[in-house]
Amino acid sequence: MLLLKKLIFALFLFLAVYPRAFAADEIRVVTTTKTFADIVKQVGSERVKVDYVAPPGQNIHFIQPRPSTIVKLIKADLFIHAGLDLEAWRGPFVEAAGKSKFLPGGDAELDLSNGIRLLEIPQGQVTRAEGDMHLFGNPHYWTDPRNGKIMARTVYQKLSEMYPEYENEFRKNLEQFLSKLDKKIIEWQNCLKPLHGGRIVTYHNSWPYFADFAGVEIADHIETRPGIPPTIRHIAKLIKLMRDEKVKVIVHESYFEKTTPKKLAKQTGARVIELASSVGENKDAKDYFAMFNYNVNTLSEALKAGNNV
Amino acid sequence: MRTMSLLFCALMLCQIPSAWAQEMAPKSFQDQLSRMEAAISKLQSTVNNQNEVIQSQQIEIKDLSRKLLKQSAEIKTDLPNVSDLAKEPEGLRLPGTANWNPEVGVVGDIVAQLTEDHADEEGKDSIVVRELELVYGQYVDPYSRFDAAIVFNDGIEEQNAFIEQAYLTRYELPFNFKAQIGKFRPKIGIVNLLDRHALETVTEPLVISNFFGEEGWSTSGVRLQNYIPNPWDLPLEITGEVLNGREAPSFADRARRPAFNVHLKASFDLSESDTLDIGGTTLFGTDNLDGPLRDKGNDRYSVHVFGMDGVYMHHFQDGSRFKLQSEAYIQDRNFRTPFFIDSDADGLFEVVETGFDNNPYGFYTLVDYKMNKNWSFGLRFDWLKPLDSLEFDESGVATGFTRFGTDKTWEISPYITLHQSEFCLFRIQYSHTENAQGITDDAVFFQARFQIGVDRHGLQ
Repeated sequence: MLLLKKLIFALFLFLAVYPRAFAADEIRVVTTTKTFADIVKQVGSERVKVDYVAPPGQNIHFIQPRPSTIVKLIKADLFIHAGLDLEAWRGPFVEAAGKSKFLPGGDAELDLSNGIRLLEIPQGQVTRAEGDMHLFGNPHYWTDPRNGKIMARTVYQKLSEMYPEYENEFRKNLEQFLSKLDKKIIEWQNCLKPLHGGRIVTYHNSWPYFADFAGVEIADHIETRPGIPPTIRHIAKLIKLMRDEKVKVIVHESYFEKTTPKKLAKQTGARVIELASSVGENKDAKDYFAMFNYNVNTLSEALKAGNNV
Repeated sequence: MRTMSLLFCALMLCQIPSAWAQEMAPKSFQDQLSRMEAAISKLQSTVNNQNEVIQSQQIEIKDLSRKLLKQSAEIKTDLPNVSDLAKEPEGLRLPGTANWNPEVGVVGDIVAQLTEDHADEEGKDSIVVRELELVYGQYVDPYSRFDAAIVFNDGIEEQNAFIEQAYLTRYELPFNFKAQIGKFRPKIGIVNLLDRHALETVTEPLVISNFFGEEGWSTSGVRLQNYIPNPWDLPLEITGEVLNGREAPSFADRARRPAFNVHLKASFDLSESDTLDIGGTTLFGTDNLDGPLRDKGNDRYSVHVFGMDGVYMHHFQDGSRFKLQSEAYIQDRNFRTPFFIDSDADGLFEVVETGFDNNPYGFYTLVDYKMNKNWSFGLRFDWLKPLDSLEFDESGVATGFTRFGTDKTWEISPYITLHQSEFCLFRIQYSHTENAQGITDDAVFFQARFQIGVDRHGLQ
C-alpha cells in the first residue's frame, strides 16, 4: 500500500513537472487541415510549429482523429479550425484534449470562416431530406484562393493579439504572403480567363468557391444530394444532361469511389479529373500555392481538351 | 484785440494737432508700414513654411494613400460589406435563445432476427426496436459539459426506458486531468465504451455480453483521465474509475463496495496511413454475497478482470479502410466454496460444493473492411469460457447455480453493411455458434440504424 501511495505521488509529481521542463519557446498551433497549417506557417514562419489533424486525402467531414493529434492539441497554444459545421468530429476531439481554452469561444481557438463571404446559405427550414446539408452555408471556402487572403489576415490578427511582441514579424510575413498570392491570383485568373463559362460536373458539392473563382459553372453533382450516393435514375439524368449540354469534365476527389465517375465518363466522353481539396492530397499539391497551381492547370487542361467553353 | 487774440489762440490750438500730425505722420506711418511689412513678410514666410509642410504632408499622404489602396486592393477588396457581415454565422452559434438549447439527437436501432435457438419459449425470431436513444448534451459553463443518453427499448417481454448515460465532464483539473461523474460506460477495452448502435456488428462480442452484460456495462461512478507526458510524445492515455460495483454479470447484484478500473492505452502512428492502439484493463470488483457467505472467507475484491485490447487501422489512398480489432479478458475469481444455497426455499441453507471455475476467459477478433463510402463487410470470431453463476430469487437469496464454464463456446459472424448515408445504415449478419456440448445455433440478423438531429461523432 505504501508503495502504491509512493507511485501515485510520483505520477502526480511527474505530471506537474514534466510538461514545464520540456516547454518549448515556439508557438504550437494545431489546425484541422493541412491547408490551414500551410497558411499558418506562411504567417507565423519560424515562430510557429504547426500540426494538423485530418490527413490529406480523407474526407474532412468524417475522419477519426488520431490519439497523437489529441496529445498535440493538449500541448498546443492555439487551435485553428474551419468553423461552421465542416468537421463533425471537432467537438469530441477538442473535448478529448480537455482544455477549456479550445472550446467554442475559448481564448485559444480560431474560426477561420470569420470574414468569409459564404455561398449557398440555406434558406428556410433545413432537413436531412436534402442530404447532408450544411446549416451555415457551404464550408469548402478555402478552395478559392481569394479567401486565402482573408484567412491569412485572420491568422495574423490572432497571432498578433496573442503574441504582440512578434507582430512586426507576422505583419512582414503576411505582406509577403499576400503579395505573392496577389501575383499568383492574377496568373491563375489569366490562365482561366479563356475558359470562363465552361461547365463541369462534380462528385460532391465541394467546389462552388473554386468554380466561382475560375468562372466555370457546376452543371450538377454525381451525388444526388450532398453526401447521398448516386442512384441509377440520377446517373441516367446526368448522362442526358452531360450529352445535351456537352459537359466534358467531371471533378472528383481522391477519397470518393471512382466507379461511377468512370462509367459516366465512358458514357459521355467526358474526362475525369482529380482536384486537390487539401494541401498534400497529391504529390503536386505540396503547399498552398502548389495546390492552386495544380488545380488551375488540371482544370484548364481538361476544359481545353474537352473544348468545353 | 482780446477777441482777436482768443481767435488766434483757438486757431492755433486747432492747427497744432494737424501740424503736429503733419509733422509726425510720415514717421509713424512709415514705422507702422514697415512693421506691417515685416509682419506680412513673416506671415508669408510662415505660410511658405506651412505650404512646404502641407506639400510634404500631402506627398506623405499620397504615399500612404497609395499604400493603403494597395493594401485595400490586396486585402479589403475581399472583405464582405457590413450587410454581409451581419448575415454571417459565428461558428456554430445560433441566434437568440436557441443558444441555450441542448444539442439533441435521436438514434434508432431496429433489429430483426431469425434463429434456431428455442431457449426462449416465445422464440427468438423477432423484430424489435432494440434501442431508441435520445441524446442530449451541452456545455454547462466554460469548464464543464453535460451529456445524457436516455434509451427506450421494445423488448419481447417488456418495453422499458432507462438512463444509459448521464454524466458531467469537468475539464482542466489540476495536472490537466479530466473528470467525469455520473452514469457512463466504463473504459474497459474498446467495445464496452461504445453505444450498441456504434458497433460494427449487430451483436456484442460474446466475452463482453457474458462478462459485462448483453448491452455492455453502464454504471455510475467517477472517472479521471489524462495523457501521461513522455519524451516521445507518445499518446499514453490513463483512465482510472471508481464504479458502482454492480449491474454487470461479473459482479454481485448488490455489491456494497465500489469496483475499481484502470485502463492504459498507447497509440502509435506507424505511418501516414497506419495506426495501432494497444490497451490494457485491470478491474477489481466484488461478487461476495450478503449473509452467510460473507463470513466464509470470500475476499472483499474477489473478482479481478484483466484485459488486453488492440486496434490496427490502415487507410488506403482511395478512401477505403481496413480495421483489425481484438479484445481478450481473463478473470481471477476467488470463490471459496462451499456455498450456502436455499435450493428449496424453505429458509434453510444447504451447503453446496459448486465447483465453480475461477478463471473464465474469452476473446474476439474483428476484421472490418470499408470498401468505400457506402459498403463495408467483415467477420468476427468469438471464443468464450463463460462465467459460472449463482441463481437468486427476488429477495436475493441464492437458490441454485449453473456451471456454464464447461460450455466453452465459439462463434463466427460475417456481416455486410450498406451505409445509405452518414446517418442511415442497413446491416445483415449471420452468426454460427457452437459450444462444447455440440449444441449449435445459426442466426441471421437484419439491422436498420438511423440518426436524426445533432450528429456528434464520438472518438473511439
